[in-house]
Amino acid sequence: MLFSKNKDSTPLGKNLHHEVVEHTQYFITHIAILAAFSLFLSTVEYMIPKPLPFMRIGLANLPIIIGLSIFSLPELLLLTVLKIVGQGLINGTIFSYIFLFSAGGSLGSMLMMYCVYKLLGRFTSFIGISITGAMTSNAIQLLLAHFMLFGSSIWIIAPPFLLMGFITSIFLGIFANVFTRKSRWYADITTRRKIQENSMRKSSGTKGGLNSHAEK
Amino acid sequence: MTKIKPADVFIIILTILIIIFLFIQTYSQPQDSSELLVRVNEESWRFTLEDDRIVHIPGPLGDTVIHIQAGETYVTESPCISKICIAAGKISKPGQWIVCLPNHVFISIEGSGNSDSGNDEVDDVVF
Repeated sequence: MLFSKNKDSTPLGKNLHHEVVEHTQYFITHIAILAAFSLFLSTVEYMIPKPLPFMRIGLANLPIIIGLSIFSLPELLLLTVLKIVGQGLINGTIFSYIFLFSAGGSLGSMLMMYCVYKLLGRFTSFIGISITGAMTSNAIQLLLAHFMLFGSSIWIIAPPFLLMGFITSIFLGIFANVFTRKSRWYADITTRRKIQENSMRKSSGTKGGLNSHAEK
Repeated sequence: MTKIKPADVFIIILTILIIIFLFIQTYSQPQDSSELLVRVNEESWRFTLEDDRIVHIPGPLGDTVIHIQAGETYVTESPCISKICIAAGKISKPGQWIVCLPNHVFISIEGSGNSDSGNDEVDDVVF
């Protein structure tokens, strides 16, 4: 579904089509794995006592940070939505206003991290990206709290809230750095992604620009 | 994407600066910027608590006389029947108020300092 624009009917195209479908399945499987991982981390985080309801470590964002370098934007959106819904289910907040905070924060931070990754990816490691994501998420949550619930008094807790997010995001970033360096699973996926990108480039190369334009 | 890179340092420094700025901005507000707010229906007056003075506030029944003295405020004369406003005594801290319903006078002390964060006393403690 996510790569359906590459469907072809020629023999060569069919071959490629199979390859693409296989790749799609492969990546959907890994979205599912990361989403499940995120659910697990939500559970772990749920057990850790927190001084204030929104002061969270953000463990469940780790799969999204790692996913940034593997997935495309629609895949990341899917992963984020799965994470939000899963987290809502586990924390029991899915039908409360806290769910809006978490949804807004997660989506916003994911998009922001994606932008930073695409624009500054060569100059940052996961630490910078993780901090950006945490700050965006916290800022969005504060803004939502300001306009929906508490008014301007929410800004009294803003500094420690942001500081906490800053510190935990550094650790998450360090973990993501180490993980992407050591994990064979991750190395396997990135290799796959490269192969897939090559094959997609090849398919558009052999078919010529005309056909692929007509497809769109 | 494995080791720390220049933009990381930049982001970290920027974030620390923003957080420090927010800390200073939020927690270093002047504590004693409280002032007296008097309202009668749609009208309102503001007075500082620093200067001692006697204020006559015109209400529907007549003048309510308010004394401001040594940072404290209290009502000395009121045209109302019950005189609850006079019995209310002296107020001096942000968040405290005196009200005279018959004469539509509402007197309160407003301040950004320690309005609702009770740094002096606790209302009640239950174990």
